[in-house]
Amino acid sequence: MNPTPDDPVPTSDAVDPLDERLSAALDGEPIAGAPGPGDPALDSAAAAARGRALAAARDVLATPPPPLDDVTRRRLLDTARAAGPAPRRDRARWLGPAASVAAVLVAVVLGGWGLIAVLHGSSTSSKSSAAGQGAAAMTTGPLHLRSLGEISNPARLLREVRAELARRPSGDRSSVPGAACRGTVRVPTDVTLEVLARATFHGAPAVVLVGREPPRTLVYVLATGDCRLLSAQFFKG
Amino acid sequence: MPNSPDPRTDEELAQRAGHGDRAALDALLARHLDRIHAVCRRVLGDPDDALDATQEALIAIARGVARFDGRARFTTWMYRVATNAALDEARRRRRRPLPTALDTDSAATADPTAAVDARLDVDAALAALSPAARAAVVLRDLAGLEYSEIATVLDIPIGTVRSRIARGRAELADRMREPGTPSRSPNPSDVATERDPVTAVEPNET
Repeated sequence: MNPTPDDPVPTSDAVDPLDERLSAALDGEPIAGAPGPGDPALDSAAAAARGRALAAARDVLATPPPPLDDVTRRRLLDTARAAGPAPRRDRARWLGPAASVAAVLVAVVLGGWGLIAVLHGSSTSSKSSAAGQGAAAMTTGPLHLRSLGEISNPARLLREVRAELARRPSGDRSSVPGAACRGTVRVPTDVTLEVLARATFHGAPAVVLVGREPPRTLVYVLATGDCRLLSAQFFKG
Repeated sequence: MPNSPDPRTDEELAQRAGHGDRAALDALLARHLDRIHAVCRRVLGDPDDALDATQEALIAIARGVARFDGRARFTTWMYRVATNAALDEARRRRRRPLPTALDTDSAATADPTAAVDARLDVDAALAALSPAARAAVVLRDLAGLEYSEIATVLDIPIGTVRSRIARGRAELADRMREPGTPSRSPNPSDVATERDPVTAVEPNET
């Protein structure tokens, strides 16, 4: 493990030589070249008492911390599983071209529709033109979601989510793309998820949901198409 | 989730998990979750930080198990991942008060069977050490690793492992000492209170 500039000031590894010898002896790891049994320093009553104290400390250090409850265990394992390895990449490779084909088809359909509308609109009155402008304004109503880019790297996901939370515009997020996915994620009853942004996860289009569970912020990444859970993370703040 | 333990070895499960066997990965993670959490909990001393580090470690194992080459024991690799996650978390977390150290009078009960007091003693004693020193003693006394394995996990010489373990035990022994027993004079350089890692650092992208 290489130190970084942010590492703490290194502490000295200096330790009482007798403690070190007694401690190593407890583990059956004698120090090469050091006096062993029979050495007066080790056989004294004081050394024996110190050895017992170190052994008691060792036993206490072996005390396991309080166990995790079942809900926390499940959440930890589910999140790790969702973040899991290779198979998703294979699927992502397939989803990438498929998503591109779908996007092209949608563009063609919408383009054709727009062309028809333009041709139709050229023969209508100014009144209907004004109505058309009103309709256009309504279609831009839902909040525009920014894309966070590729967020399969947890560090990048964390950074992008924090940045987006800091600058996100206010507005109605109930009808933005991906809002329907909110109901597919199981969260505590007091947590409300909202759609934060769009993104890609291993190339597949995704939507990012966030929810506050003080002192944590929960982050879920779901596939845009079928709301499949791709990643679940949390961070403090 | 089967009720009976999976009879396959860690290495067998890791190999299958590395080839995309989700069930093997699930079994592997479930088998070692408590060990990973215990190490993170003791190294960090804070339950919330420990959960964050445990989550990071589990994800790192899930994503990196394909890179486990089987040359070392799976647990050695796993503890390396877990310890790195805990130390990374220690670097990230913001400065906050260390767990309240037990004062000499209230810590003077030499009854190691008092479980709650013992746990407090462990956290208080470990809080006086740097995270790297904590990791060594935790990997030995809680995880049961050999000195050579700890040296591999922490990437330090065996002599450093030995001295860090001795220092951790000595710190706790002095806190558990009976009233009236003279304590060893502390080595000022060992007291990590003012320099515990609290600089907020974002994880490196890989």
